[in-house]
Amino acid sequence: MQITFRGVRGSYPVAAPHSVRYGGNTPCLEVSAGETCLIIDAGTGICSLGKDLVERDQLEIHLLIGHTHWDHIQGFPHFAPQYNKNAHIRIYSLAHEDRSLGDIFRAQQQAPFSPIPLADAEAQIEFIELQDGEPITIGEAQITCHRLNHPSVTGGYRIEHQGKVLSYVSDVDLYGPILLGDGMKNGSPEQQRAWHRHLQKGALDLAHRADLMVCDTFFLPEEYKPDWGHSRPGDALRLGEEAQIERLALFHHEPHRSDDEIDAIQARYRKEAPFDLFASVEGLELAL
Amino acid sequence: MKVKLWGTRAQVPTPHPNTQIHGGNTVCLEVQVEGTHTLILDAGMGLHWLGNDLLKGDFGRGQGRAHILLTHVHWDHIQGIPFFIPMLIPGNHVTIYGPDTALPSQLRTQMDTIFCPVPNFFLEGIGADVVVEDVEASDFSIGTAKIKTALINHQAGITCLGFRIEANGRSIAYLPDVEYLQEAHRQQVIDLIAGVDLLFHDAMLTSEEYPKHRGRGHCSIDDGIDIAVRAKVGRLVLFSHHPDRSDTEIDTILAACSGNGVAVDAGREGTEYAL
Ligand SMILES: [Zn+2]
Ligand SMILES: [Zn+2]
Ligand SMILES: [Zn+2]
Repeated sequence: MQITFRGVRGSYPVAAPHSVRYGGNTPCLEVSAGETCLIIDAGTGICSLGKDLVERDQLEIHLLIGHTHWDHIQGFPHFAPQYNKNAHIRIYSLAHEDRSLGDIFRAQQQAPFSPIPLADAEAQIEFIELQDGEPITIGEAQITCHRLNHPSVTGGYRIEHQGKVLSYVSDVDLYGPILLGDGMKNGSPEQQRAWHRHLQKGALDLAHRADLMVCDTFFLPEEYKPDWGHSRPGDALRLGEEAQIERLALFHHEPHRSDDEIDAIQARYRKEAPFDLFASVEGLELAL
Repeated sequence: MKVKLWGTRAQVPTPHPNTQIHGGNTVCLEVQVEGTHTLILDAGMGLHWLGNDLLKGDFGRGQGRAHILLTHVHWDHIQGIPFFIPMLIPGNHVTIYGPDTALPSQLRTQMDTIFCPVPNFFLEGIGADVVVEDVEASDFSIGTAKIKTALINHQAGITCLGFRIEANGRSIAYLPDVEYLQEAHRQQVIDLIAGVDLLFHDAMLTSEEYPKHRGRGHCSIDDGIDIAVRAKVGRLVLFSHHPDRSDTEIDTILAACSGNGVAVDAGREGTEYAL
């Protein structure tokens, strides 16, 4: 499995001098499982990836969406394969109770907000809604999506290929209070505790013995806010230990975090982690 | 009058080592007129960084007043609004002007919980006081600043405004997204901007690129120069840079603009013009 970090920044794209080295594009991972082209999330990192895919004539595309907050879908209107009639784009995400995935993408890409409505895309675009915890096969890869503790409807992905495992656990508050995302608003306290256990078990299943876990570490301990739905590096270390992972990538960097600050975070948590750890950097390619 | 550029980029924010000079944030201008509240032209990603700067003053204490003028609601002109921190602080007062009676519902859609993790400050009782006003092609004043608007041609089906701001005998005009498909389109703009000291104008496409994109809402850089010369503006600032354009490419384009009868700058994030 080949992985390229295309966007590593959380919340919104950061075009500023403080973030030139680690990168300011919002989340996007390019994952090649043999001949299968997978993409996780469609933040602005997907813009440059799209041009590369058209150039490589790699137009059978599977796009896994974690959730539909702006920073995870805002690059899609600028994804070049959408405007190529030979492209076939399948978009996956956990099902929402009240809205189809296609409806959400059409809402982003419509007049008067978007110059080109999704209906005018030249590519063949399909939407596939996933169920929490149900394994699926995409090309050569085995994929499972588990719901995570974050507002709205958010899922993380576990991708297995030739015995190697990538887990993508973002966006999430791993050990904070339950955030009562869609469909969880009106539960009894007992139900809420059960949901909470279910979400935490989901994160553990995603990460179980992963060769690489890419994990939301938006907050530093002193910044942590319990109602935002993001984790700290210490939370990722705890999950990584419980799940016995090989390697951790700190991900979804806070927008104001400077390159030097990220260097320092990486150095600090490397000392504490019982496994290999690095801070995600735009452009990094690695093989599992 | 002082004008500061917080975002100069069209279409999508472009964080990249080769956009460090001209900037990668989508369009946003700050206009400060003596004795008048902060004026802001368009609300692309540059608005977030302007907001952080404003927090150092009255806006950090919940005593700020700002007026945001939107040309239209393409994402690159409004995507900074959810991340404009002064809006989250009770006591601040922000008025948003735009070209459509549907503007309030459009701005609420952007902050729908399915897209946006930030509390929806367009709803009653959350954050700053926010007023949204429809100003389709009307003239009005904000403090001592006179605002003139005109409907201009951008994209089919999109209502888009151009702005002229006058204060203390100086003037600027702002046309980040515009296409001239007929002489009438040019005349509308020339009437609006005649004689301004500073013109911020759509420069997304070169003349070589333009024919392939004709009818999609953006003119060529040569069109911008032609308009600036005919309207006798003092200085033309190339604005709305294409997301694929590197700093060096923008510099090359700028160099080719000299000798056309108007002073030309390439818009750079962080530049401040004092008029
Ligand atoms: Zn996010
Ligand atoms: Zn999110
Ligand atoms: Zn536009």
